This record gives sequence, structure tokens and C-alpha cells, in this order.
Amino acid sequence: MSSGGMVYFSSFDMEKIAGLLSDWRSECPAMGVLALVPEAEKTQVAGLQIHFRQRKIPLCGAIFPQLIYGSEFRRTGLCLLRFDSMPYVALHDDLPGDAAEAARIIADGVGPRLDDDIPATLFLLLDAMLPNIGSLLDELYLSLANRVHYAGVNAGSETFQAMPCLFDSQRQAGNGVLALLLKPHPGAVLEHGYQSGEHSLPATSTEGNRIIHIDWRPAFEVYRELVLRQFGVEINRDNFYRYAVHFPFGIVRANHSTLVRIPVMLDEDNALFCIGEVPAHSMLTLLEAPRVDSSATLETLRLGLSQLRGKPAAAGLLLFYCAGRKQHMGAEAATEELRAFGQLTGASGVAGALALGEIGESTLWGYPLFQNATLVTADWGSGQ
Amino acid sequence: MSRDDVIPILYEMALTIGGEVSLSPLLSRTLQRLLYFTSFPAGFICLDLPAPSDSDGGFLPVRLDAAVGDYKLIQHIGNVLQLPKQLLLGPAVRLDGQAALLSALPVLHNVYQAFLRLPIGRLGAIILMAPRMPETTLPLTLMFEPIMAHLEKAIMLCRHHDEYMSQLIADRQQADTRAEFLALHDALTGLPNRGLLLDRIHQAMAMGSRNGQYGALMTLNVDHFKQLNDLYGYQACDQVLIETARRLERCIREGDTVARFGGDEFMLLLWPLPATQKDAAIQAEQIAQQARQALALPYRLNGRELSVSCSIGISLFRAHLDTLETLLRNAETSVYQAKAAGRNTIRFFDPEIQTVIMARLALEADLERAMALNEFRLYFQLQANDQACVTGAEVLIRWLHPKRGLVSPAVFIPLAEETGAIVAIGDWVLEMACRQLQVWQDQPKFCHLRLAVNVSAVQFHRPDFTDKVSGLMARYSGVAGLLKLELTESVMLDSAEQVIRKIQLLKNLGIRFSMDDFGTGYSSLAYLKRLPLDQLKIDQSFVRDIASDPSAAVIIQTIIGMAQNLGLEVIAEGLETQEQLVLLKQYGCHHYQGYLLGKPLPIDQFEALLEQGDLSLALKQAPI
Repeated sequence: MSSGGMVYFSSFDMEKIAGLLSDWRSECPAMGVLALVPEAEKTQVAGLQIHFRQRKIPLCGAIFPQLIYGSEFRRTGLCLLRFDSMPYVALHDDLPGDAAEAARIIADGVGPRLDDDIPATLFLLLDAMLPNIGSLLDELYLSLANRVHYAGVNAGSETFQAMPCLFDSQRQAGNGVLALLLKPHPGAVLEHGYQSGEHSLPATSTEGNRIIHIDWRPAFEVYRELVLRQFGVEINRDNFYRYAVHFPFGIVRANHSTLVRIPVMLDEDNALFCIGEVPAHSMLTLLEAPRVDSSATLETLRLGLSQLRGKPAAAGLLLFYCAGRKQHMGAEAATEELRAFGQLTGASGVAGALALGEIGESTLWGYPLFQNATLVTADWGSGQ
Repeated sequence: MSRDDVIPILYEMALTIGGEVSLSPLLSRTLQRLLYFTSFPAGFICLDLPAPSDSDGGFLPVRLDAAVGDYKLIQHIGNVLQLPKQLLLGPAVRLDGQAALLSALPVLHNVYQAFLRLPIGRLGAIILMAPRMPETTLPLTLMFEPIMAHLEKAIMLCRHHDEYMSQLIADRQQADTRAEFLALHDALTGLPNRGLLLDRIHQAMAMGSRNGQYGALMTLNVDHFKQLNDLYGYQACDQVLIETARRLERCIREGDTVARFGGDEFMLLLWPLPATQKDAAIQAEQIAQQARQALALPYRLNGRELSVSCSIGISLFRAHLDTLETLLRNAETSVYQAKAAGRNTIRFFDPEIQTVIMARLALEADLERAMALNEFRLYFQLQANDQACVTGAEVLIRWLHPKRGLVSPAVFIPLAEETGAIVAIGDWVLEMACRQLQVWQDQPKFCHLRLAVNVSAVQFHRPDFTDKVSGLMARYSGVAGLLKLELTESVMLDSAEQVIRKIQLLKNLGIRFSMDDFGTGYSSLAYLKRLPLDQLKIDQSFVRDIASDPSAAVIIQTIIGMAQNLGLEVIAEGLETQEQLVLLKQYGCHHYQGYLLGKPLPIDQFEALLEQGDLSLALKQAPI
């Protein structure tokens, strides 16, 4: 299955893959490849790396819960996305815990490669288990500011088990960041369309992506009461993950573009783990997740894309879809949203993955935000 | 307006502001959170805005205190920028379609059209900017008012904190510097301590192993210091030690070290000293003498005068021939020897050096007394030309010591030059020569004779030299034309212009000048051309070898040729054989001095020699 520089293989058929790479390389000798691998195929990554190393073709990629190709989610197979010329890629698997220091390392690699006349996008593939992605983004913005657009997604396992989910042709690593500098590239857009609730409570104690106390009480205790009071649903430790995706927290912003944080784990102290950092002292609101305005979401994305491009021309599109959103909406509705996205954008091809957190700007030249429950999309085109 | 929408934002902003204690992070974090909440992608803060005036042309010079989100603007943090006052001044406002106003900013992509201005009380303003106005239904211009009031106070508190921290850091640095100083210095006197001195000795030894120069370690103890302590008390004696330290510092040369080891024990490291042991010992001894004399001056303590003396031990060292421990032990041993010798004295560790130094000191003392005891004698060695005519004599000094006998000028002249006694000796010789010339004026046989007097460079460079000679010429009128001053090339080591001026001044009085020992020293043709000389005196070493060493003969011929070209007379000294005389004549030298013609003689014998007329025989025997 192929759409320009985006190809999906339903299985790891190395012969077919070799044929494709050979064709691609005859077209673009300086090419490189971004590989998206579903969690179910994670054992195939080592073989894929050997294959690329033997052919001396640059490779980078990540493992996600599922893939997206066209208008379908796929649990198996492999997506290969071609860069006509391999961009700057750095796999940082040993970043320090201090966000400022980690950002400095990433920025030191990217900064010298920027030419301020050429629009560029810093596309970050992060291990979802990193606890301080929001802070890392804040620090990167302090350092690189508007020299780049910011986009990215979290990779990893849907079960939130630690896994080496990032790779290049030599290494496979977890708990790190794979930074790609795409240029020229106009950036990405993201949107979730979740409606915020009416009542907010302070996260009185947080630690990275762990909410320890809400309103000075154990987080889960408060969360359970809120859900029960607002939606009449009784959540306990056993059904937590099944229900929690439907009742995410929102971090309130002034332009109503609430940041979504989906609780995904509970610990013994009744603290809640979310995908993505919850800044200390954040005011949290319980989102009425069922009220997702899907059509508004898609329209926002379409408009955003045409603004980025400056023209409505359809091209290959990268699309990352939040795993929590799919779970909340249900497979059928999510697939329908994919189909509508393809139609609305008129994309010649769509490839991506189910993500565990997304990075993007809600407006052109916007502040980079780490989100959950969103769709994040960007032009892939043939020029990457 | 929903309270639930506003309160969380204000709550987090307040906590962000309250969480910072330093100005720079306060401003950047506040900006960052504002951008985060409002979706404006960039912003900046200017504090301490100047008051607008009619003549400012619509722009204010403001310092950019913080910027976030725009890379180019960030590069200007800390700089003073000219920014539109319409942008900076006024109440909180949220305006779209302001591309023209925002284009005045030094930004990366000139895309900004909308801005939100939030005044920080009277302290400054926050400007948030966006290419497109971020949507909101919240009253941003109103809702941040309490936050801005909070921020204004936080800025003032942070500034106080930063000042306090700066002072604290400065104090700590000062304390660290002081601690570092104290680690290597003596707290009472500020002199280097034992550790630092040992380090410098190591360095000196390492350098000495490369260039072979000597160094000296001098131990100096204040005599009877314990009794002084008992008598005057510790505080007063501390003052003595401090004053001693200052006096010792004035005695040493640049690069030497004075250290205090504790109590009344001072150590002086003298490095570098000459590469020969004797010269090194002499120089070390001279510095020790200076130290001893400096400490002998009365100390003033609480209005009273106190006299102290010191004992000094000196140990010479070179490279790593001795270990550091041995060197220290030797220096201490020598100071005990000095104390044992009756204190207020100087002792070398090495007995041989001590003997040499003692001898020299004794000679020095005798030399100082020699003039007063009338121990100097003048000898005259005749000078003649190739016509067998005696033209005059060189006046030579001899020291007739009652015990030592006749002391060689080669021994006592360098010593006199070092001690400065040469000036008095030289003055005396000059006066005696003038007196002799005047005496001869009444004797027709001798009235044509000239006298050549050696002038040391030390004597010549004295500022009053020309005055003294002029005074002599006034006292002994009519002798100037018969006086010849012999200079050595070493006078040229000082300012040539000054030398030329002095010579010219005295030549104007009729005095002639000869360059002594020519060919052994500087021998610069460039200087020679400029010096208003009358004569070159070929050094005796060349004359001695003229017959045996072809190079000496060549040098003599060269000197003679040079002198002829410059119109100078040439005289050869050290003439001892007929063979030498023949060659000198052959090469064109017409004036001579040496044993062949006559050895230096006291005045009566000199006059007798001239009267006998034996001289003419030697000269006439030589073939011309």
C-alpha cells in the first residue's frame, strides 16, 4: 500500500521492504526513513535496523500502540515514511532529569542547524514514560523560541509498561527523546474539541506526571467523588483505566483551549498518574469527556493546515491520534473521525499512529503545548 | 466572565510569582506562564520606563529586562532599545491590527499584529505579542490587575534579594580571597609564610638548574627578642615585627622574597644571584648588610625610641644540589653562628665563603680608611711618540697598605666602584694630577708634559662630575690643555647623548679625551663616530699578542685605520718589546706607553728618569 513517500506494509516482509528502499534510493539517493511500528510488532525492530544498516540507509522511528494508515487503525504491519533527504535526527536516551539541562542538550544539537530564513519544525518523538515533558517544552521554548515550530508525539506501550520505544539504525532506547529537525516545514496543528467542566479544584501536590493531592486530599479519592457527583459513575481500582479515559482532567487556559490530562494509573497512595506533566499548583477541572465536538475538531485541523501551508493543496499528511481519545470515543467513532479527517482535508495519503500524548501549537506561531486526547497533524508531502 | 475560568489562572500565576526570589527568573517565568495561559506566543518586559517628553520623537530608550518566545528579541535582553512609547505606556490594553507599531521591535519574523499590554504598576510593562489575536472571552486587561500588583512587589523584593545576594557573593569572594591570602601569608605582617617561601625556593631551585645561577636563603633573627617581649610587651613587639617586615621589604630586590616563619624569625630568599659562588656571596652579603643597617635605625614605639639589632645567617644554594631541608637547616645553623659571634652580625653557612666574605669586608673597611690615612700613592708611566719625545704620562694609583703592602688596583678599584669609594678616590687623583701639572708649569723641562687620568664610569656619570672638573680647571688655571681624561667603553652603556654632552662641555675647557682599553668592550663604530674624542688607546692585550697572534695584529691595524679615518690619535699601551714597537710603527701607531719605555714610577723617580734621558735610547734603537 503506498501513497507517495508513505508506505504501509501489513507485515515485515523484508524482501518487499528491500524492493521499496531500492526504488526510493534510486529516486532520492540522500533519502532516509521514519518507521512507525505498532506495539504488536516491537520485536521486529532489531531486524529492521539490521536491514537498514546493511543498506546504509538512515533510519529513525518509534513504537506506538497502533498505526494509522488511510482511514484505519492497524495493530500490525509497518509504516515507512521517506525523507527525500535525511534531516538532522538525534536520539537522546541519556537526558538528565533536570528539564532545563535536557532542553539545553537538545537545543545545542538543533540550534547550529537552523537557518532563520527557512521555516523549520522540531518534531519530537518522546517516550510517554518521561515525567517532565511539559517542562521540557517550556525550556526548549525559552531556548529556541520561535526559530522552530514545535510538534511531536509520545510513543510507547498502551499499557504504560516501560519499553525501548525509540530507535535509529543503531540503537533502540526508552525514557528518551528522538528529535527530528524538519526543514523547510511549516509546523503542525492539534486539536481535541473536549469541553471543559464548570468546577475546578487545585492540584495541591504534584510531581511530574503524578497528581498526589487535589484540594489537599489524596487525588484518587477526590477524583472518584467528582466523577460520581458529576457523572454518576462509581470508579474503583478495578475499573479505573476503563473509566478514567472518559473523565480526564483539564488544565484551564485563558483562551479556553483546555489542556487535557488523562489519568492512566493509580498507585498505592491513591495518587493519579497522567500522560504528561501536571504543573505544580495547576487548577484542574474534570472534563465532560463524552461531549467531544468531533466536527469542530476536524474543522480546526483543516483550517490550521491550510494556514500553515498558505494554500489548501492536499498532500500526504502525518496524523497522530491520541490513544485515550480513541478509547473514550470508541473504535467505531474514532475510525469514523479518521475517515472524516481524510475527506475534509483532501489528503492524498494519511499515515501516523495512535499516540500517548501530543505536542503542538493550537495557532500559527503558538506557544508549544503538551496535550492529551488530541489529533495532531502535519504535512508530510514529498519534500521532507 | 466565569469566576472558575479566571481564578485558576490567577492562582497559578500568583504561585509562580511567589515562587521566585531572583529578578531574572521571576520575569521570564512570569512571561512564560502568561504566554502559556493566553496563547500569545511571544512577549517581553521592560522595567524602569523613563518619563515621556515632547522631544522623544515617540520613542523611549528602555532596557529589555526579559523576553520569551522571540529568538531575536531574546538576544537583546539587557540592551537598551528605542521602543514606541505608544506600545509601552498607558493602561492595560488588548489591541489587534497593530503591525506598524510592532514593526519597530527587533524581532525574528515580522509577523506580530496583536498585543496585550499589562502595566506593572509604575515599575514597567509587560507586552505580549501574537501574529493573530488569540481568542478569549476573558477580560485579560482586567483580570491580571491583581497579578501585576503582586508582580510589582515581587520585583522589588527580588531586587532587594539580588542586591543582598550580590553583596553576599562579593563578601564571600572577599573572604575567600582573604582566606587564600592567609593560607599563604603571615597574618601579623602580611609577609609570605613558610609554605609560600618553600614553594618559591622550589621554583628558584628549578630555575637555577637551567641557568646555573645561585640563590641565597637568609635567616634573620631579631637579637634578644624575648627580652624585648618581656620588657615592652607583646603588642609593642608585634609593632616591631611589622615594622621589621616593612623595612626588610625595602631592602630586597624585585623578585626576592621576605617571609616570616614565626616569632622573630624572618627568611629572605634572594634569587637570582650571579652564577659564581664568590659573586653570589658578595651580592648576598651586600643585601644582608642593607637589611642589618635598615633594622639598626631606631624604632618608635609609643613615643619612645627602641634600638634593635639582628643576626643574619646566609646559606647559598644552586639548583637541587642540596635538599630543601638541608638548605633550611644550613640557614638556621648560620644564624646561630651569627648569634654566637656576638649578634648584630652576618654569617655564611659555608666556612670558605665566610672567609672570603670576611676578607672582603676587612679590605672594604681598610679602603674606607685609606684616603684619610693617606695610603694612596700616585705613579706615573711615561707616554712617548715615535720621534723619541716624551709627551707625558698616565697617572696610576697605588694603595700602600701598612700591613698588606702594595695592593693591586685590580683588587681595590672594582671594590671601590662597588662601594662608591671610587668617586672620592677619583676626585683625589684628578686633583693631584692637576696640581702636578701646575707644578710642572714652572719647570721648562716638564711644562709641555700631558697627564692622562683614568676616570671610572661611576665617577663620570655622577651628575656633579663636570662641575667638579670645571672647578679644578678654575683652581689650576692653565693646565686644562695638558690634562687628558681616559674613559673606558663602559661609560657608553649609559645614555650616549649625555656622555657626548659631558665630554663636549669639558673639551670646551681644553681637556682632551682618550678611549682606554679600546677593542675590549663595546667598540661601536657608530658611537665612536659621535664621541668627540682625541685619542684611542689600544688595549695592552692586543699589543702583547701583536707579534704572535695574527688576529691581534689585524685588530690593531683595524683600530689604527679606524682612528685615522676619524682623525684620532692612537696610543698603544703595554709596549714591552722592540718587536712590538717595530710592528706598531709599521702599522702606523705613533704613540706608546709600556715597560719598554718605563714602568710606573713615583713622581720623583719619574722626573729623574726624564732628566737622565735614557728613554730616547730605547726609542731610537727601534727601526722606523
